Amino acid sequence: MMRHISPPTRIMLVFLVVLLTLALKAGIDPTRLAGDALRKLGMSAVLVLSLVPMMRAGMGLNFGMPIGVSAGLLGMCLSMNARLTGAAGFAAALGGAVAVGSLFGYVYGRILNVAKGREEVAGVFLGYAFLPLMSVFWTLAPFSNRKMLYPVGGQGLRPRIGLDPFFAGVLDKGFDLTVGGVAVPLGLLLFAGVLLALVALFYATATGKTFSVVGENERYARILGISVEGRRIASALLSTVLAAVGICVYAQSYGFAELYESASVMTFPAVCALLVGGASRWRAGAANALLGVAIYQTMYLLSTPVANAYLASETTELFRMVVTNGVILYAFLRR
Amino acid sequence: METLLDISGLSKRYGESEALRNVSFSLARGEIVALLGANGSGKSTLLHILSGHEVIFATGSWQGRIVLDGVPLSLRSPRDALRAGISMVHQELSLLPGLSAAENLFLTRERTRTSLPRRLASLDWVDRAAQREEGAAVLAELGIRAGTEVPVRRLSLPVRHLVEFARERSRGDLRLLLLDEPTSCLNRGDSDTVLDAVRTLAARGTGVLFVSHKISEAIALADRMVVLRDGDVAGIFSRRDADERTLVRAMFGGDLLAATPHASRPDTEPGPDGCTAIPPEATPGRWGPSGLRPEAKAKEKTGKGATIPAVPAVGKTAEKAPPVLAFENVTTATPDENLRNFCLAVRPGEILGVTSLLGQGKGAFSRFFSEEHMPFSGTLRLKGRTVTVRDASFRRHVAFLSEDRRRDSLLLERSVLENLTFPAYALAGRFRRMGPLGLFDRAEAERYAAEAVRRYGITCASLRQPVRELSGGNQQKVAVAKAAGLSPTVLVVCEPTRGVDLRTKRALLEWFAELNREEGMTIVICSGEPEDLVGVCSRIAVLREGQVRRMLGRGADEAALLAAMEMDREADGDGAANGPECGGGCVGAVPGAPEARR
Repeated sequence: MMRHISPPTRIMLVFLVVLLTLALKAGIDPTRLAGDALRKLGMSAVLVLSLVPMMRAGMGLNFGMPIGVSAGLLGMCLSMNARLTGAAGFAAALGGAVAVGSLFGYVYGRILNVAKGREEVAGVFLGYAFLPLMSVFWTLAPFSNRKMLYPVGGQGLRPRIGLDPFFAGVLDKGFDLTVGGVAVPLGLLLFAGVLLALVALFYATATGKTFSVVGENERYARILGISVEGRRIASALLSTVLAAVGICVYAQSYGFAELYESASVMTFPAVCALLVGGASRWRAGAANALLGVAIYQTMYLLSTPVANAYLASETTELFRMVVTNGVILYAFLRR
Repeated sequence: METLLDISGLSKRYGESEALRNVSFSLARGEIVALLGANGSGKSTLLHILSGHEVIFATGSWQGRIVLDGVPLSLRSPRDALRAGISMVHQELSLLPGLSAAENLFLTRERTRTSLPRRLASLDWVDRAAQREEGAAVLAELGIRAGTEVPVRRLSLPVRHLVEFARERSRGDLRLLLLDEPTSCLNRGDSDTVLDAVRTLAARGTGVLFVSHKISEAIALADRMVVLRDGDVAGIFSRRDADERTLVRAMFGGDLLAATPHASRPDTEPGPDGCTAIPPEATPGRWGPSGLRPEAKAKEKTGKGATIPAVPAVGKTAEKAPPVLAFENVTTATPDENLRNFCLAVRPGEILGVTSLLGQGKGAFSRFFSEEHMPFSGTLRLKGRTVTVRDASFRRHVAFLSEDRRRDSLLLERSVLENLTFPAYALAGRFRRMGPLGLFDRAEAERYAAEAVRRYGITCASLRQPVRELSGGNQQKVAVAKAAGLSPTVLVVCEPTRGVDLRTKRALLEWFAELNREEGMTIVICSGEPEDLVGVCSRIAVLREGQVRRMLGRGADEAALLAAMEMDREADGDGAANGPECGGGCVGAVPGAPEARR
């Protein structure tokens, strides 16, 4: 049984058990931990899921995720600027995110087709090159809602916009449920679950399988008359749109939309979570995303109170960086 | 004779399966030894051990003793083998695709200008001009005169094979040359060039150990033949006491040659242009008056089931019917060969052979259908409609199996089941459930795959076994079964019997005839092997300089085909006149369509 579990998953599972034991020993409330773990799972699942389409199409890990995240932030800003609140505000944010994400994703896919075989490196630099452009945009875009703008001067969006007046917690609190003392964010989990199921279902269809074949053997796909370039663009588009939706889900739960350079920090944890879920650099599915995000986020959640109880609190962040980068490095070494 | 290589008690396991069991034989200096056996008999494993292939040590090394020139070898890597003076020409090529043929020839032993002191010789400048000149001369010895400057990835597979052979042959410190199917993708003429080069090399004292499925070639070339069967040495024969029947018996444990070669289509009268017409109705065959096998009849009756679908028998003569696929003045260029004003009409329900010598158009014809399809001028018609190879309708009706099956026709990491059913599921709408969702109907697919495995005699542990683990012959069977599952209007297969043993070869040719006879499938076999074409094809188009120069009918024998392939330039004039496909002003005409298509 253990033979079929990838080494990162095994290591993380063992580590998770150790952390859980230490946390319980330190007297941390297990019901609160469980509730937080479920919320973390729902928050990050869609972002992690957004990596799957590009991996399926043989385009590797989507290090260009900041492009999709920026699209999602733009969608949220458009909704907030229109002063939409609650479910309507969130729906408008999603609509904007999907529209902008589609546009960005199409262009991103076209560029990655030119950089075929080097998509991961190209993605890293596209992501990094894209953020300064977006920073200029956040500064100059003619948004008018004062709650989004710098308090002094009234020009340019704040780096951190509070979502409380708009749609913070709209999914988390939508169908709140308490089971055995554990607060279950049912709305959030349902939303993420539906998206996971839709992606899994798509890859179980005939069309979805052609996407996987493109990633596995391009020459084979071409001889069968499958449009390789078209499938790759569609995969980049889907990844970007899912990342855009993912950041909306994350932000409504987190309570803030973080602009400017913050978009870059979402990529590595998401990539790490997917790898922890048993994905390799070229094969991934919705199940890997779900398992990975559950293990990775729970481990991260536990590490803070455990570090506070037994070590210096700063070690949490160091530990997180070592784990995240170590798992990604492992994926590259495995090639 | 002085012993060069001595192998004793050599055994090798891959996990549970035993690939070689206590193999012992020797090879003298300057001797040529052929290694014969069915697919999966252990030939490639033995060559991999001798060449220090990484997969051998990655899977637990080997037991026994290998001695070269009196020195025991451990052969842990290809580097060890090269240091010992052992080189190998692989069936799966090991060239750097981005470098030219000349650059590949001199890789790691570059020609340099001797301007620096000897101790610093490794920092000396590479003399590109000298490499180009010497490389061109080395390649010209094997008949390669064009395309030596372009990256090898743009050369055809046979030419790449010749480049790899030239590279290994030209090593100065060569003591033992290993050849894995050295002529498998070459025509007879080109094979002769390679075999002559092997003889010359042996005459200089180099030992040669080669694997081949061509028994006649082994008898003609080798001094001795070592036959492997299921990992054991089944016999060692000298050229004096080996004949084809004895070797086949040793290889397969039975007299395969006594069997009927293959059931071909019912014979018909050759047409005035040397073509055969398809009979107006199916001739009674071994499955009864309808000519359909029982499963096909059941399929016709019930319209469902796991059998490969049947197509009604051909109802009118092929001569009267419009061509299903037609090339009209097609001109296209690949780096090493072209099609030039190429005209060919493929008639519905026929088996058409296409062949040529190396560089004369067969490779360009094959690439026309492949992933490496180049722009072309002229017209391509499918059932009368102008199309291009990239059109979805073309790919829906024309299934293509390239000569490079591992790269183009299989998903190596996927299971036998997935390989057999994926194209039919994704592209032909089969094995679907849940209506518009079209999810994969695994139960139905498994029934179909089990039937295909039985029908095509695919040897696999289970339907879930990855295709990567199957032998070359079984991989080829999977590729053919996969294409047949699409029920295409036209099936184009290139070098279908390359690298497969005699039994598999027989089976493959039998299936082509069966698919054609019982399902009405039009089949185009593009091959340099006369045995693949003679007796199987209704017509055989012989190409020269990128045009159809001869069209042979069913009556043509192997000698006639070889003569047509080797015809000289004087004969070309007659051939052009005889070429029925190029009549009507096609020959010599300037391509009609000025713009290139893809």
